[in-house]
Amino acid sequence: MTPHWLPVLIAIPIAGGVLAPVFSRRTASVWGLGVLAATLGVALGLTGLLADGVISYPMGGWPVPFGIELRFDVLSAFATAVALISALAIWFSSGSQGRVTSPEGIAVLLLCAGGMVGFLLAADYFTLFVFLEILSISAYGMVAMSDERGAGIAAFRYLLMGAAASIVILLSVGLLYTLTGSLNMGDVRLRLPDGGLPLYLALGGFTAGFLLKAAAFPLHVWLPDAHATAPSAVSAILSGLVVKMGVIGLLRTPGLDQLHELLLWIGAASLLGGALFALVQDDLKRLLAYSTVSNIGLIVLGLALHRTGATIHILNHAVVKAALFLAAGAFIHRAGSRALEGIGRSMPVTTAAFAVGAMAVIGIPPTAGFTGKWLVTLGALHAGRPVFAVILLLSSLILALCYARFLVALAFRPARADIREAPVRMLVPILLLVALSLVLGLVGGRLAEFVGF
Amino acid sequence: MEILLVEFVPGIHLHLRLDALGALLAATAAVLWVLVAPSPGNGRRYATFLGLTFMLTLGVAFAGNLLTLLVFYELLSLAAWPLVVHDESEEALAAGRHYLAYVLTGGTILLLAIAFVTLSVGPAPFGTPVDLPPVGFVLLLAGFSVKAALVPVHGWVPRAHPVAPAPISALLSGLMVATGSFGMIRVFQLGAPTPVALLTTVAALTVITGGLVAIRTDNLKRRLAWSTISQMAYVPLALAVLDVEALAGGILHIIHHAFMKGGLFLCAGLLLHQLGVRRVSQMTGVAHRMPWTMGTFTLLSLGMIGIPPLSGFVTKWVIGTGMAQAGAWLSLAVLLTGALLAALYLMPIVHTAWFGARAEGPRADPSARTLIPVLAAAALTVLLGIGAALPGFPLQVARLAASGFGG
Repeated sequence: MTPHWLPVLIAIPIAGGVLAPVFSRRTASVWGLGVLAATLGVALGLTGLLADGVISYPMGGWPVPFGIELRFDVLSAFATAVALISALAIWFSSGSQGRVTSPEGIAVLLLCAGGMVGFLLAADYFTLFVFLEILSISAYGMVAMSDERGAGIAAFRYLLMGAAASIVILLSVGLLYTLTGSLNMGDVRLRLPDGGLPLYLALGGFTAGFLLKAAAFPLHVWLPDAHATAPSAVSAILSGLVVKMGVIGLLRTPGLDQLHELLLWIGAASLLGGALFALVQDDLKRLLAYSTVSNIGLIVLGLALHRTGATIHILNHAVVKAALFLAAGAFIHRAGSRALEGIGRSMPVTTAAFAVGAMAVIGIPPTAGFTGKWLVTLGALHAGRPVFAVILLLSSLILALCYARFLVALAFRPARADIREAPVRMLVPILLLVALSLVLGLVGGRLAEFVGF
Repeated sequence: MEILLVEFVPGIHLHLRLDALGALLAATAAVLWVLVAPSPGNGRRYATFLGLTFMLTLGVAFAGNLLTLLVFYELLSLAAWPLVVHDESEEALAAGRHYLAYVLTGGTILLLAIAFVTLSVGPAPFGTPVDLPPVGFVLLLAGFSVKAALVPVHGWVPRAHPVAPAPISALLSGLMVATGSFGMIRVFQLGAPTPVALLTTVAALTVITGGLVAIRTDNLKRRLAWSTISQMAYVPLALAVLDVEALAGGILHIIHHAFMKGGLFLCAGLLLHQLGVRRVSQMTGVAHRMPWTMGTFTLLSLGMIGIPPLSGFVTKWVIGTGMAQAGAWLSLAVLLTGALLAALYLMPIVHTAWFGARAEGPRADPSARTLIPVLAAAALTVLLGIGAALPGFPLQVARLAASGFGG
């Protein structure tokens, strides 16, 4: 009976998204929250059942590898984070006049969540591609929902680059099919040829496409504008969840081990590049966006050096970065602009939450960001490549100084008298995510056991 | 007594453990925080982080393995930052930036070191000697030396002390620097695989440089900060001798120094608050306006130099005998030079304050209540000196802590 829940898990948010436009502005958020709560419930239930092994569902009863297969494995458990963070983003925006909580906004947001859930459950490369398109196109739409100047251009640029990545990935899927005669992930792995140009083209295509979707340096150029201009709740989803689909796609790529050296250097470049660009940002959301590039670097480095560490960091960074973007949204909401000097004094709770989140994203032990950083450092030393451990630690040092500089502007400048603490509907999601990040930081041992590559 | 909390990274628990060494640091922190706490009117943020830093210092004291030590050590660095920049002046914020850059770099080196150690010997709980890999050992000492303010990574100390509020300077000098030395002691507790001549050299250099710069520094709090750099280097100097008695002296020095230097900084704070005196050159004759404050200052200075029977003498005596036993004559010479330098940078202050031209103006000693902390620090300096040999006093506990060391 259990496997039938797999298509249900995908169908809930997608159907919810399709139905969302029939609701009124007042009821749409409630609908969105309900749909995501149901998604979260099913995803949590399936995650609980993972102890008994990976859950597989052959669509329409066609046996694997001939039919379409859905699989719920450790990576698919990320669907819980997808549902939770999307729901908190809606809660955060509820009651505001922004487009996020309009019926269309909720529809796009739910479709994006559904695309991500489908992407996580897909067990063949074509289905993977289809859901990647669903989530990407809704993501372009979410960026365009912003009222900020330049949001349209940012969204369009994101669309162009994302579409290029999609085409490359689709071509690679085709190439892989001609090489192996199969699209099922498990089956492809068995039939993969030992080498040859076509194979390397396919692998290269997957890697380039997914690295672009993940915004790894130097393919990150679309990210800062898109994440900084999008509404903050959307930024939380984009930075926390959507870019993670790129690295999860890499984890699903066959023959990833052959790209060891490339991943090392791309990861290192991302780590340092992201941190250095973050250093010169004056805008909080751009700082957060570049710190995402840096953290993606950590994950990509981890793909080569310590896959468990990378996988744990996918989850931990999602929670932490979502909290930070929501906190930034609360600051901007109260300040009425991007000028945030001295605002922290009038918003002590949000500031404290932001500070804890910043510690986590830097990777100060024992917060959530530390586990991945520690494991990848160990991996680098174990592999006899200490230079990557040094790059990793250096970049988190640079990030620490970026966040410190911002916290000074926030909390150690003259207070702004006209500002009050963020409203409860914003505070609760932020505090929930921060609390969750503290818990995740303390249970690193358990997480590693769960991931267990 | 120990407790394993959560397994926060695979294979390593948050591990709390009580031993003689940790208990000494914790007790010192408890007393020092009580002395500096009565400074009302600094607001909520100050009170919050003052409490947090105390909690985290206790964490450093009770950490049961290297990574747990790092957790509390890093958090302590961060929690002290808002206290350092409490004034929010541009100068304080700039000093805060330096402070953060230094201590976080130190923490990062430590993390790398601990990763090295973990790869070769596992979580490394204190109390069971292990074969530290030489790279890890050197990196560990390098990481701890930033907060321990060893030359050439001492830069944050003379910047942060003058701008921080006086009670915070007292904590920085009394215990923040000491946590770095404490970390080094923990490393030696795990094992010392390589010759430690390098540590001796660096510590000796620090004792002498710190003292020399202190003589030439006019800003009172900065002079005291340089004195801390010079004095706290006794601990690594004693450690590097690899002698149990010298080690006991080093441990003892952390405690005795904390109260003396804490008291001196509080006195400096009172001078600034009552008379606006910041510089040694402004202190001519101030003893006539603030006899109680300067009396205490004089007593604490004598303790710092190491005049018997004050507590500073006891530590130097114990370290010195240990060094003599081990035949480390060069270290002993450095130790004595350090004491001489202390006389040279502290006695001129005392002299000008008492025997300089009388400062005009009414008596300006603060109320008796405000004086209690500095008087208590002075009383401790006398008590810990006279009673040093009594059972249950720090010297006995420090010997107990040192006796547990393998090498």
